Amino acid sequence: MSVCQPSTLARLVSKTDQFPTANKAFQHTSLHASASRSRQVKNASFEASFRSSQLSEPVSGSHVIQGTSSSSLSSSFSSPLSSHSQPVSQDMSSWSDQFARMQIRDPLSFTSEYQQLYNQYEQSQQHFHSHQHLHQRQHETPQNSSFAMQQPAPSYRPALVQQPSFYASNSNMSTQSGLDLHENEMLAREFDRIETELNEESASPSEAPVFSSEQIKFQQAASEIHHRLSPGTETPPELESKFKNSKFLGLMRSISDGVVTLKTDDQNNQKYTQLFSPSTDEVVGNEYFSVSDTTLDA
Amino acid sequence: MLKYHMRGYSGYGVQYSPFFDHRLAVASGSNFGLVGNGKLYILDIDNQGRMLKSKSFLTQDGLFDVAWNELHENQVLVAQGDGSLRLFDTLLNEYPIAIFQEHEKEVLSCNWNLLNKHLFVSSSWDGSIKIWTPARNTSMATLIPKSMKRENTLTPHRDVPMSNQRQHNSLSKNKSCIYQAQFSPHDPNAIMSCSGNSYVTLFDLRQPSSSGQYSFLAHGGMETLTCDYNKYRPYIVATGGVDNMIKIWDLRMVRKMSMHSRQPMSVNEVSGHDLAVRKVSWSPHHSDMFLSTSYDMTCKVWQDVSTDGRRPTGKTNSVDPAKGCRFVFPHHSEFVFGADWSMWGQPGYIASTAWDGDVCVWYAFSR
Repeated sequence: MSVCQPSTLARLVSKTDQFPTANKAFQHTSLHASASRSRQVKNASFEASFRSSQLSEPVSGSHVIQGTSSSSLSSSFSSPLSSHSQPVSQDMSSWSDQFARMQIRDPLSFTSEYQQLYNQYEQSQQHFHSHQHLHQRQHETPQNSSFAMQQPAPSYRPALVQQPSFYASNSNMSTQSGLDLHENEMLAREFDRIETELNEESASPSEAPVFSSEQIKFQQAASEIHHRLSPGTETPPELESKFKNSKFLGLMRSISDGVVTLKTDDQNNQKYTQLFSPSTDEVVGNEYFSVSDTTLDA
Repeated sequence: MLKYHMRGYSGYGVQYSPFFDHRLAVASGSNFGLVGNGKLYILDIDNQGRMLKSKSFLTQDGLFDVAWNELHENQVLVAQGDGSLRLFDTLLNEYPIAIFQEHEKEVLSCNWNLLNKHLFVSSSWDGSIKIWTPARNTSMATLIPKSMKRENTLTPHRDVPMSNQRQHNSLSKNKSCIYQAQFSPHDPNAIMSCSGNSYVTLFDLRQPSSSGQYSFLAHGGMETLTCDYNKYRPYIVATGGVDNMIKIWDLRMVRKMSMHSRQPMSVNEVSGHDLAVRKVSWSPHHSDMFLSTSYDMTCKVWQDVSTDGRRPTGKTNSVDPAKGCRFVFPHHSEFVFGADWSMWGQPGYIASTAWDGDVCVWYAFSR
């Protein structure tokens, strides 16, 4: 085609021929359509130049916004393109360069300097806390072991249960992993030791005997009597000496202390027939003799 | 003083035989009557002044009271902890000749009618009084005091204690317990009872049980543990309670307390014990003498100074220097539960028994 055109219309037609895609773009005013069309005019070299320019672009603004925009952009330009004339490719490359350099700026975001300083602060704090927790638990471990000897498990177990969650949240820290493993092993050994002690305690026979409701009522009544009749300031002297020598009050004291309690009949578990000492299993007072519930006529 | 020790058993009740001057019956329980067997002792006093056991009957539960049969010299009735009454013959062995089983809880007292001698009465922890005859093993009548049924101001709500004082702890307990019931020695149809709700109730067997009874509050809401008719003044009764008091009531002197309440007057009050009074008994020989036993481990003999034997004096025992106390028997070492005046020989002999297992016979008017 000759450069010299006889008429403006011809020149226009000739220029339009140079932009077949653009011409079509004029025909299709939709932006989405133009974008989809623009993929067809891109070739591999352009993509390579775009990628290189994008990688060389300095980081600015929000990482999240930049990353998202770059990835979306790269994906939108990744489709194979048909070959086009040089001027078009130059225009497209310049446009894509501009697009690649485009940065989304958040007017409310902090300055990059502040964000860098904050990142440094966060990293230092995370490091400090992990060290602090580590030292803290290393110091606490012997304390907990002595505490566990005095207190039952429920007050100690929650602390041990909570710790694995802490380690799980910090398990991605490579510098802590060795210490964490060591500490986990140490705590596991401590936990096993306490479990063993508790099992031994529960397996051994308990000192305090278990009383039935009747025995507890009996004990409460005896305690009340003993408390009521204990010599006080208003007790006459002659009565005080009698109270001190009273076998009944001595028995009430023994019952209220749990040393003596009721014992059921060997043949009838519902009937209490004598007193005994739960610790020695010996009968206290009179032994019970079973008597037939009959008359002489029967 | 004569003494017999019941090894391993605590005395609850003692009564002289109405037929033999040397014979006593004693009701006892092992382990202070808290749990275990009971035993009925028949004790004889020999010519040498020794008290010896002539017979004993082991029972399957503790015995809380005893009464001789007024028609048969060898029969003794006992009140047992399992809700039964048992009649023993002292000439026979081991087992009773009759069992009267109707009460649902411990039978705390039994008393033989001195006038209509084929009847006896029992009172129980189940809140009932029963009239019996030896010829039948079922009761002839059951009496329930109205004070056990009706709601009154002295029956506190379960959740609201009447008092927070320690000595009043028992107020909310044993309300339905009828500690004693006995026939009048003057009227064969009159019965008096006292209960844990502090009421004393008088019954007339000739009237329906619902209307033939009259109750009055005896010890200010605290348990009334014992009561007795005066043997010479039919209208005079004595009561003892947890408030450590002995009160003497004139049943004729009734005053109106409210629209529906009439209360007899307490003509005399005796406060000579340090702990609750467990038994009072008027003398069979004097109209103004009575004895009392107490948890303070003493047994005391009192003179009622409100009468001179003929007419009221208008005095109370508080004006007497010794509060009317004429004798103190201090030789028991545990709670004294039972005591009885001897009707034989010189007036003033008393038999007493306590949780220390001792049965003592002593003279109240020795100087």
